[in-house]
Amino acid sequence: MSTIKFNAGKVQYDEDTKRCTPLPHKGTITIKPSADEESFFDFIWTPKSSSGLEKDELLIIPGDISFKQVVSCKTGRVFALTFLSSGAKYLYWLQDVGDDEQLNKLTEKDQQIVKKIQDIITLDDDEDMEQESELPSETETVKQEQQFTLPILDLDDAFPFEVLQQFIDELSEEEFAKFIEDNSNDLPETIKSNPTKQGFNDLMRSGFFQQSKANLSNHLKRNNGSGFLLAQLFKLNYQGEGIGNFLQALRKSNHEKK
Amino acid sequence: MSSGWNTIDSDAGLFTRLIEKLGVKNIQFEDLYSIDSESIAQLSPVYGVIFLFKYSKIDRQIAKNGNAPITGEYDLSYQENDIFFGNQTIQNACGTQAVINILLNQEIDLGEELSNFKSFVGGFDGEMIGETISNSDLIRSVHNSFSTPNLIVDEDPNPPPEDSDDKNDGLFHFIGYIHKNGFIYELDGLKNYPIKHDECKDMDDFITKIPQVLMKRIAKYGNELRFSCLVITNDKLNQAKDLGDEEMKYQELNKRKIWDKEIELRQHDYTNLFVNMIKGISSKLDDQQWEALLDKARERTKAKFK
Repeated sequence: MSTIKFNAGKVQYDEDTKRCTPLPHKGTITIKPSADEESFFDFIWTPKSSSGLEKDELLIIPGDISFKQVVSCKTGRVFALTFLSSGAKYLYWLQDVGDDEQLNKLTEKDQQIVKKIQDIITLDDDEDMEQESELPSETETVKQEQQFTLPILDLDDAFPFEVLQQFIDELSEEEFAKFIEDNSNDLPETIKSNPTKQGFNDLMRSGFFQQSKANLSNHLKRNNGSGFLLAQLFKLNYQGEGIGNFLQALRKSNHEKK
Repeated sequence: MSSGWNTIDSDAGLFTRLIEKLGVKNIQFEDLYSIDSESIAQLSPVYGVIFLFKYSKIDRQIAKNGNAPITGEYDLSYQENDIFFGNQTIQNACGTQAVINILLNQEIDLGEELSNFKSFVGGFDGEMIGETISNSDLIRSVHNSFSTPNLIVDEDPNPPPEDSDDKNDGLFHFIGYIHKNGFIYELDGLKNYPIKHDECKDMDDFITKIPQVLMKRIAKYGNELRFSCLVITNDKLNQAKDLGDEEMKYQELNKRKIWDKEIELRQHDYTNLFVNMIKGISSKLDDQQWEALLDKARERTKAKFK
């Protein structure tokens, strides 16, 4: 993902009067992949040095953010960055040359920027919504916030030890024996020769199993095409990068088999 | 996340089995849980100590700027001083190389293969010895028989950020400490020469002084806490048998059972197995239950970043 950069000024929001006041200072918004956390983004608004205003430095978690035009503002192109989890809102107005007559009309360049931002903040499996949010309409505000889903950033969050253990526990003796047989290439000799649920639980508790788990998570999280390679490796129908999409692909492959 | 540490829990067992396979007699590795003379003395005889740490930014910077020792000083005449030293030429074998550096400085029964190796490289300098180690079929095949296969090989063309090794995914480095010729020596395959520390007259003196040497080193890393130490000692099972100590014999046998189990676990990659388990779980759930499981996962992810 490349960096998104465009000119924008800050809009001050007064809690008491509920009034928005655009500040005249020039500034730039930069959105780039976070250096600290893969798959997150840094959102930075930098004022021109002479303004005396402070930078906004925000961390964006895809799925937790909406970026929408404030349609009630007819005198300029104002956008609201909203954090869905906390409700915090940040307002900015676009400063690149706009339409002379209809002041709130988005230029082609604006629309491209908005599209790019939507691509970043939208989780890949919400493609329908992505198109909808490209051209905001007045009724959309409420609808959009419900449609966002949070990301899953660790396979362990979906499949912690307890979930795996329960799966093994609930297998009948027959099913368990078949499971061991189906996976015999990936199991140590002692478990193959004497398969017990207890022994299998010990394996899942071991650092080696957990490392394989963490390793897969880390590769899927990178969003650099490794999701595509992994989908191929496991013979899945590729659904997109990231853990959510990988799980969806696994789910789908199961259904097809049925 | 502690994924980097998990695999090295069993290093004492792994190294012991590894050198047994190389033919070395009557040597055992023991984890050292507390760096103090009393704990080390309990394990005596002590042939050396392996210090395992996160290779960090500090080490990288020093290596770039002349590679001077972090503590202690280089012994340029190590060859005359009869110090065996091989530079590290293969990244993945750093543990094995550190072990060889320590063992080949000892008056112990190295077995036929390593004795031959030692006489073959007699007179070579560190770099040549390092090369010879990396070219040794025996050492390589023994080393590889203990390693973990990797289903997913990382071919990410983007170099990791400069400080990536300070987080979770960095490299661990093994260095050895021994006493020889009246000094404590540090043998670090990534350094140019062996490094001389405090004077040291015998094994007892080594046991007394090595904790300070290690603590001085650790202090250089500030808040970094990912260290671990192994002591190289005699085969405790043999010792128990010789002493007729049944209790100790039982403990040592038990220890070996755990080692071998861990070594066996280590020899597989479990990614496939895990993916098959997810498939299995998915096949047991209807769409609503599956969504509920994902929702729970999202909540857990979210909670971590609050």
